[in-house]
This record gives sequence, structure tokens and C-alpha cells, in this order.
Amino acid sequence: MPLVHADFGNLLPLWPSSWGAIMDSCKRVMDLLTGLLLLFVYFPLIHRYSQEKISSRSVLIAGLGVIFFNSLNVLVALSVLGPFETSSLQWPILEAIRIQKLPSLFLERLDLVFFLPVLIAVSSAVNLYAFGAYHVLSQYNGGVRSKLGMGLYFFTIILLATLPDTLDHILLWYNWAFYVVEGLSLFLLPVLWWKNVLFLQKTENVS
Amino acid sequence: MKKKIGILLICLLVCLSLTGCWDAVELQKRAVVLMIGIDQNEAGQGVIVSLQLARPQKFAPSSKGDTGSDSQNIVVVSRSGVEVTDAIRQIQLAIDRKLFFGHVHGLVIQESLARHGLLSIMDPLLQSRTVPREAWLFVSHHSAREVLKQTPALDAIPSTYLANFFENRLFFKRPYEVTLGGFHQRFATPGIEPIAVWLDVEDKALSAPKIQGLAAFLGDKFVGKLNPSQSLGWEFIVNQFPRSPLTFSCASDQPNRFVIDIRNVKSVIRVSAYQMGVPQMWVRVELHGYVEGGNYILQQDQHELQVLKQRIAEELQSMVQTSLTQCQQTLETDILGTGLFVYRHNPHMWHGDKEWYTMFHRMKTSVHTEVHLDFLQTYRPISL
Repeated sequence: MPLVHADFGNLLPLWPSSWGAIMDSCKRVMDLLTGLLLLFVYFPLIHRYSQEKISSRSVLIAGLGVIFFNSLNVLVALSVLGPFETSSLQWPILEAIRIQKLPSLFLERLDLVFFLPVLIAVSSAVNLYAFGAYHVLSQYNGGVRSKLGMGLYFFTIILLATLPDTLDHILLWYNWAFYVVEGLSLFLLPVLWWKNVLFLQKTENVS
Repeated sequence: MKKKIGILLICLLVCLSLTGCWDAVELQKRAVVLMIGIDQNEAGQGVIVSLQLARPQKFAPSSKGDTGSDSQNIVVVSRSGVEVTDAIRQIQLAIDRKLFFGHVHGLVIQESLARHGLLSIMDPLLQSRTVPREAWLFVSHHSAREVLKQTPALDAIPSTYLANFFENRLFFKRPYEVTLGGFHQRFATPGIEPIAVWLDVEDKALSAPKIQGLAAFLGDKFVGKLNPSQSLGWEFIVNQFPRSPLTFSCASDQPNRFVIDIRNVKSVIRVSAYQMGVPQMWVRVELHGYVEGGNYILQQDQHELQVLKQRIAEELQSMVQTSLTQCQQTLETDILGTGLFVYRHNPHMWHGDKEWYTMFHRMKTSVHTEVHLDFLQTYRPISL
């Protein structure tokens, strides 16, 4: 629907005049990929439900799906709002959705329907993180402690969603803690991957 | 048993979150804002904000059977303040109902205020979402309050009257560009300058504001306007002319005119490499339409068609050239987006707005027009 207002000329120029700027912005991309930590979820899952081919294919399809939908988001935001307006907005996709207007008074009140994908995405992300948190905790701790961890996780989410008037102060320490955890995780990732490969080889040999 | 009680408790807790419209406000307690007008405070610093408020009880058909379209449908409340949000707060304190901005259709800014820059006015409104991005942006030579007080004879809701011009695409093919969001988008983008709709004196027959062209900006500052003819030229250049009939004169020295139903207009802008330090601009406008009629058209044959094509091409070229001259020489603002074209298609030639404006007004332009016409063929020609 927002594509009614689209100007695909906004996608030009397709190639940057300077690749230096692209290299600089690569650092920002890492900041946006907060889901990288979920790799910690996938490895224990593959480890536990060991059908390697199916799991790897599912991970690949899910990854491609995420890339496709995010590419669609980028296409809509860039073509409707243009690259400069998009970069100045906090929530470009929501703004692109808000631009479109439905043609009748009756339908006009159904504009909330367009927020459903966003709500689904947010709740899915929370569920996925909860799912991941549970499996990570059960992998490394197990039993009662993982349930306790889940309780703490949901308690923190509810607290963060309801209590703070502004997230600025929370973000200050959250970002710091996040970078530390992500740094450690990135460092451990090859080790975990290698451990996973060894485990799979061992499983194949046994079977 | 414990498990069942636990599930029951969770279900009850979930029910607490289903509170429905817990923060709903009754219509009787709301003051629905239809349009916002902002004037310069002549008496001192700051601005005067006027809100056009709906009186919903007056929109219902009366016992006499009329539509309720009279001056009682709306009320305009004005207050001054150091800036817009302060003035809105003053209005809120002056009325008993809570102001509701969900139905704002337009923002009218007085010309003298727009000359100082719109960003300081618009920014708090956009940041706080007081005015939606889709609201139409108008600049008026006269007081914005006077514009808001006008009640069109044709429409019970004055803001709808103005909004319909754009929502029905009577003026522009892509009307989003004259909204607040469109203004901000053009402002944020290099190589193109913002525009708004120029409102002139009241159309007395309709008792409504009259749209008289385009307001041109340089950055966020109003620099001048394009009259209806120049606005037409602008529409042809930037592919904004909607499907509609247009009248052309038979010859520059003749009063006779004929009507063309324009079905499609395609335009292309090209900016060539710099020659002597200045780029060359080339505009090609292609028009497709049907000859609707007029006293001038006596015969429907190919010779007549060629004459009409020639005449339209000449007038089209003149309109486009006049509009280009107005933007380049008089206003010195690139509301055509030629700089953006350079940025998109020849990024190696683009070195930012500052450098662009050192040569924009000196840029050589060349206009080419192509007209594709046909007669409407509902009936065979009848010999009178």
C-alpha cells in the first residue's frame, strides 16, 4: 500500500561514489545485528535435536526469509521516503505505513491492521528470545535453574516495558553490558562451532 | 490441583491486560481540530496560533432539512505564544474541552512568517505528532486566521474542502509532495527544495480560500511563488500534471481558445556534463491527449490536427520556459529537483547543495516538446 507514494528514483544511485563510506558504515551494521546472539540458541538446538540436514536447511531458509523481509522493508522505506528522510527518522517503516490512506471512511479505521505485522514481529522476537534463553539456560545449567532464569527474563521484560518513563538511562548501562556479552560471544563462537562439529562427527561415528 | 490453580491465576492475570478503551475520551469532551493557522505576532515576538475547531452538534441535519453548512459549523480560536506549542497550550487553557489533533487536515502559514523559516515552527509539531505528516501545507499572503474563518459554501467541513483538491488529484498527480511530510522529505534531500500550496484571497462566489499556485522555498525559507501559469509549467516539467482538460489559445494574438483533454504527460530531465564550468539542462515534455473542442476547431482532419499540435507545442514550450526562468532567475531555488537528478544519475558530478547553487541560476536550459493528439471519435463528422 505505501508503494502508491513510491518514487523508485529514490533508489538511485545504485552504486556508491566512494566505497570508504560503505566501509565506515559496516561498523554500524554490527550494532544493528543484535540477533547474532541467537546463534548461541541454534547450536544447542542442533546439538539436542541432532537431525543435521533438516536443521541446517531450516536455519538457511529462516535466514533467507529474514533477509527477504528486511530487504522489502528497506525497499519500501527508501522508495517512499527517500534515503535522506529515511536516515533522519526513528521508525521509517512505521512512517511509510502511516503515509498511506485507505479510500473509505469505513476502512479508514482499519489502519491498525497495518500495525499487526509490527506487533507480530515484536512479540515473535520476544518469544524467540524467551525460547532461546530457556534453551541456553537448560543447555548450560538445566533443571530448576533454567526455569528460574526464564522467570527472571520475563520479569525483566515486563519491568522494562512498563516502568521506565524514558529508556535513555537504562540504555546507558544496557549498551555497555550488551557490548561486553557480545564481545565475549563473538570470541567464543568459533570454539562453540568447532565443538558442535566434533559432536556431530562423534554422533555419526557411533551410529 | 496446584497446576490447575496456577493456570487459572495466569488466565485471570491475562484478563487484566484486556482493558479495551481504558483511555477513551468522549466526543463531548473533545475539541476536534480541523486546521491550524500560524501568523506572525505583529505586536511582539512569537506567533499567533489559530485552531479551526469543529462543532459536531452542528453537522447533524436540522429539522428544516438543510445540510448544516453554515458558519456555525466551526469556531476559530486564536492565542499568541512565544512559540507554537506555547500558543496551543494557551488555547487549551481557554477552552473546557480537550484538544484532539487526530483530524487535522491542513496547516496554514502566513507568508511573512514563512520568510523567516518554517523549520522552527514545524519541528515541534512534527516531533510531537501534533500534526500528521499527511496534512496539507499552505502558505497565505493574508492572515492564516482569516483563511481558517472562511466556510466554503460547498462543504460543511472547511478543511475537507481544501483537502479534496489534493485527495481527488485535481492539481497534482502525486500530491504527497505538498504535505508536511513531503516538505520535510524535500528539505532533507539535497538537490531539491520544498514547496507548499499558495493560497490567495477568498473566492467570494464559493466563500472559500482560493488556490493560486505554488509557494517556493529555499531550505526552509519562503522565497516567492509561482503563479498558476508558472505552476502549470512546473507540473509539466516534474511529471505532476494530472489527467484533466486544459485550454490552449489558438494563436498568441487571437482570443479564441480550444480544449485538450490531457490523458498523459511524460517528462524527462537531463543534465549534461559541465561546459565552461556550467552544466546544461535539457527538458523533454511529451503530451498525449484528445481534442475536446472549441470554436476554433472547424474541421476534424489531419491538417487541422497538425496545426493544433504545433500550437500546443509552442504554448507548452512557453509555459515550461517561463517556469524555468522563474525558478532559476527570479527565485533562484531548485524546486524542480534538477540537482537531485544530478545526484541520482551523475553522482560523480554532484558536490553538494552549496556548489550546486553557484551555478544553478546560470545553467543553460533547452526545452523540447512533443505532442500526440487525436480527435474524440464518438460520432462521425456531421455536415452542417
